[in-house]
This record gives sequence, structure tokens and C-alpha cells, in this order.
Amino acid sequence: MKRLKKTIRQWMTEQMDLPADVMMDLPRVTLIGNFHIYIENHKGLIRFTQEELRLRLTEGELLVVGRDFVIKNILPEEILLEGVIVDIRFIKEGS
Amino acid sequence: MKNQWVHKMTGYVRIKIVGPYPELFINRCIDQKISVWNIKRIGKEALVCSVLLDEVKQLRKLARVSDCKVRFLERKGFPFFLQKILNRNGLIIGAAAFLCLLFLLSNMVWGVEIEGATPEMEHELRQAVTEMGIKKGAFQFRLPAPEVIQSEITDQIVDATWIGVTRKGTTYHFQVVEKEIAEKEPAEAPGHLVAKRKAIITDLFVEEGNPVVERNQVVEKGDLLVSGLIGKEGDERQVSAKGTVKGEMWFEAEMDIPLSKTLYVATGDSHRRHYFHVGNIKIPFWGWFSPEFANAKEEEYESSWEIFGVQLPFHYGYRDLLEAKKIEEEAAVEEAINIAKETGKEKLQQQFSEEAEITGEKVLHHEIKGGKVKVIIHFKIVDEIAEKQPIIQGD
Repeated sequence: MKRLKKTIRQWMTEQMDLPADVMMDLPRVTLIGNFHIYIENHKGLIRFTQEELRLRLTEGELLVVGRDFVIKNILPEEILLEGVIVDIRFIKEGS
Repeated sequence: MKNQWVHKMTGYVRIKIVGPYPELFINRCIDQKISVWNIKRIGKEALVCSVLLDEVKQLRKLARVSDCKVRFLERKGFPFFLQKILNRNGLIIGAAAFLCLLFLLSNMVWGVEIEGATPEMEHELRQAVTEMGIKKGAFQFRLPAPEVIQSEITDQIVDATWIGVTRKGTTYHFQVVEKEIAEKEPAEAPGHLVAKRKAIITDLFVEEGNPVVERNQVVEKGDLLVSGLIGKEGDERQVSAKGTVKGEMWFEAEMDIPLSKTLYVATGDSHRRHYFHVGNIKIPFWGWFSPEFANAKEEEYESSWEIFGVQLPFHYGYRDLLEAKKIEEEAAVEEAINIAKETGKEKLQQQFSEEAEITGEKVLHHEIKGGKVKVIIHFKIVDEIAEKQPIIQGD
């Protein structure tokens, strides 16, 4: 059932030209230079240190690596991170 | 994201969260809609973040649930600033003392100014005022209102007609109007009023003395008008006759007015052409097309433009073309007579006092001779004719 729903949504996104983040509950990541990163549609903090931010997503995790991290603001679905961003990585569930 | 200023007004605290898994605490906060910002990791098991003052109470429960300890580090924002100030008694006392002092000093009398009084009266007034309590350093709220002061002081100072009292800030102004004792006119020597010219009396007003003439009576020069002897005959008293006697006089004036053969008169139609002068060159820039006038007169105007006293080599000017009309010789003569009347009046009036009035004028004769009009005009003029003549003793 869940898989069917996902397939339908993916089909709609492709056929009807709708933004993928809205339809499929995916994160939208906005980078400003290498010092601001703005992530919408996250599902909570997993780990936060000076060099690393790990966020839970609908599917898998998002990993941001860098230096001098500070969470400027955090809301139920949004997060604004400041610092020197070096790497952004998506980690599949289970891997 | 809330504005930084909102945080500063409501106040916020920096807290340190210590626990094995502080991220959990942050997640719980977000679930509870508690706004958390500026999160920083310090050390292995500790986070530092900012929380609004209003929401601090809810933290304790969340901390217990997520197995963390909360410690307050800094208190920031307006409520804490206010508390800090209130804790400094000296500052508040100082401010209050300042306001008190300002109020007291601004309600004191700092000056008494007296205007329009002679030195003696100023001294007198100053004494009276000091007695009433108006002096440097007195409190204004203990003094009566300016209107009351005014009526009291006016009663006290007899020599003053009126004393105006006004308060301007910390200064009292006294404006004094002193009584002026009218000077007595020196007693004049007894005398008559006599006519200084031949005239018909038109108006007679006698202040003192015995009038001997009547209205519409013709008097010669030197005739007695008002006698300085009053009282019954045989028991007369000598006074200085006073009064005004107006008489009508006649004058004939003869005048020569040059007559130009052709006189032009402007009709009122005109055309203006504007020029821009550069050096000696005139450049017309407006009003190129002027109408055709049979007779025209030109008038030119030039402005001069200066900068710091130095005349600029360019300036503005215009030329007026005034339409003119030839007037007939007969009309020209009439014009000349009018001019004669005017100049005659002016000349005549110079010989009389300022009160003199020309009551009539009549052209008796005019004659055109050698380009000139000879005009004889008869003027009627009314002026003061009385003249003083002392009574000679033993007359």
C-alpha cells in the first residue's frame, strides 16, 4: 500500500510538473555560499556537534560536515545552520 | 524566525544542557513549539542555546524527560536590564534628585526687570517689590499671580500711571508708564490778531479775545480781526487773543508753457521683444514678430547681472515698442493749459501754509505765441490770515 502511494505520487510529479518536495515530502536544501545552509522538511536532530550535523529525513538521513557549526534557528520543519560547510551527504536507511 | 528585537524586549536566557544525548532535548523543545536558537556544541555532552524567558518554566520538565541537566549561563534583554538598573539605588536617587532640583530651580525668581522708569522710581518700585517678596531666590508658587501683583503695586506707586507685570520663565518684568505732568504754556503777552493779507473771511474761530469781524467781510492788510481787550467798555482787561481766522484770497498767475507742434500720446498698445545680450551683441529670443505701428516709440531696458561685484558679459534686456497717436493742435493746447494749472497750483501752494486749500481756479486768458502758450489763471485760495500784534501799552 505504502509503495503504491509512493508510485502514484512519483507519477504525478513527473506528469503534472509539480515540485518534488511538496509532492513527495522530500527535504529542500538551500545553500548560501558555504556558510549558511537552510534545510526544510527535516524530521528532527540526530546528532549535532561543532563539525557535524545529522538530520533525520522521511527516508534516510542528511549529513552536513564542516567547522564551527551553530544552529541559528530551529523550527519543527526547518533548520538554519551557520558555519563553514565542507560536505553534504545523503545516507540511505540501513547502510 | 522571530526578530532579534522581539527577543531583546521580552528577555531571554542562555542555557547549558548537559546530558548523554542533548540532541533529544532540542527535538523535544521543537515538538513543544519552544523556540530555541543559537545552538552550539561545547564539549562532548553539552550544548549551549538561547531560550525565551517566558518559556523557561517548561524546560525543567523536558529536561527531566530527556535525562539532561539545565544550567543558566546568561540573562539578556530588557527585563534583566531594568532589574539591573533598579538594583542601583544611587542612580535612581540621583535621577529623582535631579528632577526635584530642576523643578525647584525653575520655579524660583531669578530676576526682576524694570522698564521705563526713572532711576528714583525704579528704586522705589524695587523696594516695594522686595517687600512683597519678589526677589532673587523666592519661590514662585509662594507669590501671588502677576495680575494681583500688578494691582497692588499700582496702588502703592502713586507716581506711575500704570505698571504692567509679566512673568517670563524665571524673570518678572515690570513695565512702568509714568505720569506726565503737562507743562503749562508760558503766559503770552497780551495782543490782537490782525490780518496779514487782503481777504474775505470764510471761517472764524476765536479761543480768546473779542472778535470784531464777521464772516464774508472783506478785510485789508493790517485790519484788526480779534481784539485782545475784553470786558465792558472802560473796564477792559488785556488778554492774548487766540484763534484761527481763515480768509479767501485771489491770485493771478501767468505762465508760459512751451508747445510742441506734434504731440504724441501712447495708445496703450505695445509689443515687447526680449533680448539676450552677449557683449555688445543683442540676440532676440522671444517676440520676433512685432505688429506694424504707424507711429511708435521705442523704450529699451537692460538688466545687469553681477557675481561678487563683477559684471557678467551676458545679460537680459527687452525693447518695448509703444504705439503712439498724434494729437491735434487744439488738444495740445488744452494739454498745455492743464499743465499750466497744475504747475500754477504747486507754485502757489509753496507760498502758503500747509493748511492752505485751493478752492477754485479759472483760466482767464490764453494766447499762443512763438511755440508757447501764455496762460493767465485766477486762483482762489483759503488760508489762515490772522497774525499776532502786541498791544502797545498806553494805547
